[in-house]
Amino acid sequence: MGRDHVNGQPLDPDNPHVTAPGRPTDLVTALEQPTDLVAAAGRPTDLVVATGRTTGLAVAVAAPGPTSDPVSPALLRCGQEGFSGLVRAGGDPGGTIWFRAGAVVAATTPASPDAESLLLRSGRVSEADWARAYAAGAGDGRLAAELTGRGAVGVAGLEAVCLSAVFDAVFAMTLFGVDGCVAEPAVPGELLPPLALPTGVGAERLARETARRLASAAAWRELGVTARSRPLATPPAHPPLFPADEVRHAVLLKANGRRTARDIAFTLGRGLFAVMGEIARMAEEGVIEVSAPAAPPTGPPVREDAGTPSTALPQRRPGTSKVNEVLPTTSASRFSVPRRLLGLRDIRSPAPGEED
Amino acid sequence: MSNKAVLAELQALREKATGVTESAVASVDGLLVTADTDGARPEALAALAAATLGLGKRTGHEVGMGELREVVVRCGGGHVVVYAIRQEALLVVLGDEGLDVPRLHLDSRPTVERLGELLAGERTSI
Repeated sequence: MGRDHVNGQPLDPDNPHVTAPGRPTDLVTALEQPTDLVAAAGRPTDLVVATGRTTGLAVAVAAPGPTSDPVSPALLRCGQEGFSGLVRAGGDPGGTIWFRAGAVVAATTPASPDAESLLLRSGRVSEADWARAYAAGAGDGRLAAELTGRGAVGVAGLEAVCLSAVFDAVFAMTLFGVDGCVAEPAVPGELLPPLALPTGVGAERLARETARRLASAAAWRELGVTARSRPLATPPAHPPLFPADEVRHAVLLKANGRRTARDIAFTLGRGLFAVMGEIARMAEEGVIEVSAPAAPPTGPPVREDAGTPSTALPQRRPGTSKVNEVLPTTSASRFSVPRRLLGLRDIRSPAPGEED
Repeated sequence: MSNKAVLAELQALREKATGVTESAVASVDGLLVTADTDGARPEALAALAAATLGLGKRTGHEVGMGELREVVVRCGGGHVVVYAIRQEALLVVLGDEGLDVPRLHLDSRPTVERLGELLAGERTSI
């Protein structure tokens, strides 16, 4: 956070009803308190805006509920008001949405790959190109210009990736569950994410697309496909025959019963929505199993039977490494220096007067 | 100590913390106790994590920054985080680039506490 609000602590010492709504209980409390600083906007699930301090901190919250989607109302409200700043979506794992003049320019969440992951993991941009462009332009917000200027990626291609990352992030954070949203106005000098969209996407369009994707995900849930399900498939024996099958092939290779759909999306550098859709199609065809329990651990076998207590941590024993067997054994005076080390020590610049 | 209980702790951490992909518990001198790994080599991970933890401790002391809390290694493809478990052991966690590291620190503290109790024989299961 880095600002002067702490979860559950009064933001305004003169008015204890104004709190930083971090946890769901705080959100509900903030909504239920009859304070003149909280201006309710419509139904309880709609966005509520409160001005916390004369310093200009604005707090926008949406009440949690079992069927509510707090993100879309927050998107629409911020879009209508021409908001500039960021909206933090609280949840597990939650996410952050950046606005400029009512348009969404970036969105990130641990639930879906961001633009950097999409570019690098998929191989569209090499690590070397990324590192050079980042060093040259990320500090002053010119990363995108550096990437396109160096020919690492095309202008249209980069914008498409950034746009898809925004759509995917808002979908993913909503799918995983959001308790509420908190808006923080932009402050002078605040940096945007390095690959923010230059013009942004309209909040209404983003909300509409998110609703469409959530409807698709609801249908996939009936097949057992969720963002946290762990699909299991037999790896394909042959490479894909057609380029169109590459995503399907890649998903099959990564679906080991251990990775979630979200993990597979990160591994492949593909959007969560696209990966879940592919998994759902294959689940429907019966080539992938999504109801399988988590794979058994693939680590080393346990050292003793389950439940049998051992008395101590493993310890190193002298001689176990058998390093002495590979060291020179002849004339092994304890204080003699091995011949190879003597040779290494001789590699040095001669002191003045030492030359022959 | 039951290795099954330690493994259950590692699996529970992977379920709880979004982005955690693999983990292992080892002694501070790098001998593996239990691993919940997918592609990483458990013994190598244990040994390197011990070296990483040792370097972190020594570096922190050298520059006068006090006790080590954890060591975080950030790479292009993800994160390696090493936590000390009391004085005798360590927990190493691997996560992808989406891992929320500050959140992992919150999620992993209770795990580290319970692992310490398991390894010391003060607890037999989670």
